[in-house]
Amino acid sequence: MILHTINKTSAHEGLNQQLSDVIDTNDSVILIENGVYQAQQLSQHSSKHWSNTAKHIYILKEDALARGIALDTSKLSYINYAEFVELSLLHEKVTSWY
Amino acid sequence: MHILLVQQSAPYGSSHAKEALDIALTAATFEQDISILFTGDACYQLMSNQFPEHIDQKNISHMLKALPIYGLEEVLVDEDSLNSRGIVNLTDSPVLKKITKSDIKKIYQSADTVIRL
Repeated sequence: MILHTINKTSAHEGLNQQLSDVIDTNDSVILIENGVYQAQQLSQHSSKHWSNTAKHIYILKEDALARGIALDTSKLSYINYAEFVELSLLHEKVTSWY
Repeated sequence: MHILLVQQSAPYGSSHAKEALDIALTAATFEQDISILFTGDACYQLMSNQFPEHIDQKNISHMLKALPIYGLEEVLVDEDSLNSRGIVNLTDSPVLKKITKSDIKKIYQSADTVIRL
């Protein structure tokens, strides 16, 4: 059970592909920093994309608001920094994709 | 002597966007003929409703609005990059113009200098 953080946009295809290759159905993903831009494209991906494997997808509220990402995407849970810390403790490990 | 400045980076994850804007403003201040083209992830700089005070940054889209004051009248954005990213709401700018792939080729070919950041 891994918590993955990703801080890059979907234009970083290699990075997103690597995450898709290793992610398990028990894992969750948090979109942080420039990763929050991916919120706008989550419905466009193939079944093998990490967004269709992850148990939950979270997005850091502060980073989304800063970049003009509307807080209304149904696939995502919006979290603050305290909840980020809590999630990192609830998972066996945290892996950063950057 | 026409300079084309091509921006490719999102606004806040790195200092690239800010530095590219500094180059544009410096060139325009010294009365150089300069155009800016936003392509790829740089299109995210143009989104409306940015509130970067949440991450202690300045709003780059406000600075973009000031470009005409410095005599920078040609601000272009790659339409394909906007569409592939699902960007619909752009910040208001009197000079921002959407262009296609074939226009981009022409602009690259006609510029005297191209700076890509």
